[in-house]
Amino acid sequence: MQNPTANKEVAIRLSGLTKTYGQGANVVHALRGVDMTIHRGEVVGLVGPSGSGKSTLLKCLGAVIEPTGGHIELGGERIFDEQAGGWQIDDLRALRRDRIGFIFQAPYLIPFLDVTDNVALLPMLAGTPNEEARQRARELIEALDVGHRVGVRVSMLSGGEQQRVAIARSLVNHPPVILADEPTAPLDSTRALAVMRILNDMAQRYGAAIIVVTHDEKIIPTFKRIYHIRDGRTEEEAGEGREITS
Amino acid sequence: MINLAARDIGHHLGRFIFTGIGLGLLIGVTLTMAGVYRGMVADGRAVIAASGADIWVVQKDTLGPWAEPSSIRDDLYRSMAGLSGVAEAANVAYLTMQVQINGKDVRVMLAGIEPGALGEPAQVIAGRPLLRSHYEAVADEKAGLLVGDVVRIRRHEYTVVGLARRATSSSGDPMIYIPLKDAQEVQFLKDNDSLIAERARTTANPAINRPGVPGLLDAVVATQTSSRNVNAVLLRLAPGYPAEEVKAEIGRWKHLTAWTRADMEEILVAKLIATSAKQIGMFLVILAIVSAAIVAFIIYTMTINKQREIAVLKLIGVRDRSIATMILQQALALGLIGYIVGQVSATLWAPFFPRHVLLESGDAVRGLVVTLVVCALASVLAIRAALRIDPADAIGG
Amino acid sequence: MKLHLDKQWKIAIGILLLAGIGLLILRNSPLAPMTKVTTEPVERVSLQASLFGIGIVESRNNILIGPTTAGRVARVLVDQGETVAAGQVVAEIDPIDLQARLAAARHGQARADSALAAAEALGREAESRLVTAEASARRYAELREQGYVSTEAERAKGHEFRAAGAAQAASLANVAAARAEGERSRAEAEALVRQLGNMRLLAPVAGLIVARDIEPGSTAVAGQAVVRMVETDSFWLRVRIDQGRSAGLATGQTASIVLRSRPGETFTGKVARIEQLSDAVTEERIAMVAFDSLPAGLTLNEMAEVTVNMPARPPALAVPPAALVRQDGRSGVFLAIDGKAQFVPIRAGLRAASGIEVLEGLRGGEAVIVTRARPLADGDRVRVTDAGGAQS
Repeated sequence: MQNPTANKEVAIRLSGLTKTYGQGANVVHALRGVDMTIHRGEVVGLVGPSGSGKSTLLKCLGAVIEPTGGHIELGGERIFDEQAGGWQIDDLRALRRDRIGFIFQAPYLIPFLDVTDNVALLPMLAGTPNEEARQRARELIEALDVGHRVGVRVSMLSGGEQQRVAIARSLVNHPPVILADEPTAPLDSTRALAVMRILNDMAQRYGAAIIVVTHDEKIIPTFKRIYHIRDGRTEEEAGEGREITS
Repeated sequence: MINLAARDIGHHLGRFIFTGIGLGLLIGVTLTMAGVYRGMVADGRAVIAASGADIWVVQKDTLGPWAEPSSIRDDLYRSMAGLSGVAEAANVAYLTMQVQINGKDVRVMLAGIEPGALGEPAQVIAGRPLLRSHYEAVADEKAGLLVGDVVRIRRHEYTVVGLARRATSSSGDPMIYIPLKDAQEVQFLKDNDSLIAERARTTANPAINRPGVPGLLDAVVATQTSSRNVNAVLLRLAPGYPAEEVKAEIGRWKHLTAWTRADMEEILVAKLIATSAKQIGMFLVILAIVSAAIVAFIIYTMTINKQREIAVLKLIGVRDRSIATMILQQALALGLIGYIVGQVSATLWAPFFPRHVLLESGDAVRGLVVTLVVCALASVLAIRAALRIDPADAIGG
Repeated sequence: MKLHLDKQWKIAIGILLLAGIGLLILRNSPLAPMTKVTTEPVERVSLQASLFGIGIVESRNNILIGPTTAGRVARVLVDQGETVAAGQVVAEIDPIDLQARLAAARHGQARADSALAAAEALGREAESRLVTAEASARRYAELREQGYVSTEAERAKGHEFRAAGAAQAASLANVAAARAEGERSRAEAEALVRQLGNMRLLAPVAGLIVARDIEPGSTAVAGQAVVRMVETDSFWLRVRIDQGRSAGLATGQTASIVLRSRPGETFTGKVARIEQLSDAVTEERIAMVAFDSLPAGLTLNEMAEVTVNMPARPPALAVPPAALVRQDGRSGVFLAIDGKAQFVPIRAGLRAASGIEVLEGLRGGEAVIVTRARPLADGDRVRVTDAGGAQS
């Protein structure tokens, strides 16, 4: 099915991705050959019951664990090829830092850093001058409507504010790929929809490809494309693509 | 570049400072122990230097007069005064004993000297030096006496005519200088009951108490009650005269051994203080281990408490090196705070310590280096734990 | 300001570090403040020394009264503390067999007298025989001339005469011998009488009994004292004075005496005699100091502390005793020069409580440091204060 919002390049492509845990009698086939294609600017949903391999898939995509078979391409570059020997990139952490953004179920902000520094952390550690990094951070924070909380301690923010800061953190390096794991789980429907609106906004503005793992009924209708995952296999489906009104 | 360690410490500043103070007190005790050792060595050297002697002559094959008992005749000094190179020779007697001062028993070192001769205290800070041949005393101020006080030592009462400072034995006991003849009596003359018993024994001895030889018994009793020994003879040499020569010369005499100033210092430090040095050394090692354990534990706990954050950091791409650096810097900061607190407290409480505590700047620098090294090593445990944290844990399920 | 937060941390830590190290350096360095001292100018002073010594109460002459031969003490008639007159019997030795021997001697004397009388009688007899024999010999000589008797008869009578003469000489000798024997017996008896006299021990002079050494029934050997006495009012003090500190000691100097048994009182006295024999072992000179007025109840061998007053000496350079110090073993003083303590070795002469004579090393007028708040080293910075402020 053609996706009207899909544009140009493929940001993520998975081919025959498998992941097997354990040996012998305790073998667990978490992924049994997953194929997936996501374009820049797309916000795609990944839906499935627990134990279906959602987290495993995210961990493989995020270069956190090593798949057993298949290959992964990011932005056209093959970063994993089991036949070619596994990871094709030496510094996985740099990969994660520069090309992948993470949004977790909980904000997981660093409590001893303030809002700006939480967002500006990665570029600062990478060597970007503090001023520039903080400037970029502040822009994002403003864009996410948490600008009034700059300079404040993380513990003083509400859950929703923290989540928005976390989203800003994932975006500060303008990564081409963003992996979001149940970002709306703890939120009520208004907030959940607000988060989805922001994500869609980011995807459009910065051209990031966003995968959202979720089973939240409130936001599933907003996806234009959904991958269902069950028993380690995926199936593509067209979503409703409902507009999110604020 | 952002300093994660500084941020983390700032976030838990109170706890960090509190821990640092605790560690600091421990370090302060360590520095104080080292200071006690230095103080003992300094006191020992001071005692040797204060006497003004270049050579110490004692009983043959003894390390006296402090390390071992030494007893020599008091007329030997006359022959030594005539040796070439010797400018002055003087008898001295030393005895450690308890003296009642202001109602309390005080442990002092009694020094018997000839007033005006070698062995007297170098300077008085109150009153005057000894002038008379009997029943005067110059005391170190630590004894608790004032000029004009009367102190009873064995059979006689002595008037304190002067006070000295830093005149202590190598174990820190204050010294009381009295005329030599009085000191000889204190050291060698027994108490009345013993004398009476001795006299009775001698009188009952028919070989001595002979009717045909009147006066023999009295003469023998008199020798029993006379005290003609001293503990050492001090020699001052002509300026520039080699002490080793005089030492060798006296070494050839039958009943005597001579020690130079360097020898005496070595005896004091190597032998007298050696046991204490070992004890203090062991104590320092134990303290270092305990401090390392505390730092390791604290830093490890702080790291484990940040487990989730570290997993997140690793996941979003923060390098291991940055995380390790953060932990190391925290450990070093803890060590630094502890060291400063320790150094300041040791400096503040040193004057009130019962022993002489000498805090040397060399020790201060060494202490800082050791503290930082120990903290760095202690952080290894936490760093290893941090490195083992799996970034995948940040993604639940 | 957030932007400077990291810098602030660095600065804060830096300041803390510097403060700590600064504290160390300040406390441990010899950047100590100046020492407070007091000074006095070196002047010529007329020092009056006093010599100090320990004295023991003795008597000028100790008289030991005892027997000249061994014997057993029969009676002791006096006790300690009694006064006796000259010639008083103080004790008696048991004569044991002396009386018997005297009686024997007297008997011998009597016998000798009898022997003498007998010898004299015999002598008279011999003389009478001689006269008779002489007359007979002369008559016979006449008769022989007249031819009435034979020559043998004459010779016989002549021989009788000569024999009588010899007999008479022998009898004279016997008398002499008997007389001598009589003398001998008399002398012997006299000796025994004298010995008997010695059995009574007499006090040679008036005085005080200080010891009763042997009780009746004990044996005394020749020379052993049964009773010891001293002349009345003959107590004085044997005082030992350190040789090194005895310069100027002379008879006649006044002294003050404190008896150990009477610590609160001071008595006066004078140096009566200086012993020719000093004590080589203890290196002390010995002076005998007599009391001006003898305290009542004084006992022998009591101890006293004696201070002999010396006459004032001509003015000499002197420093107060507290100024004397030793640096590196050498004696000297500290001078306060330009705010610093400078050590000057000196050679000291007389050491009195009022001052130490300086023989060498100072010219006079220098400001010598008398008291110091803490021990000084050569070159230390000092601050001169008025007296009374430097005692720590």
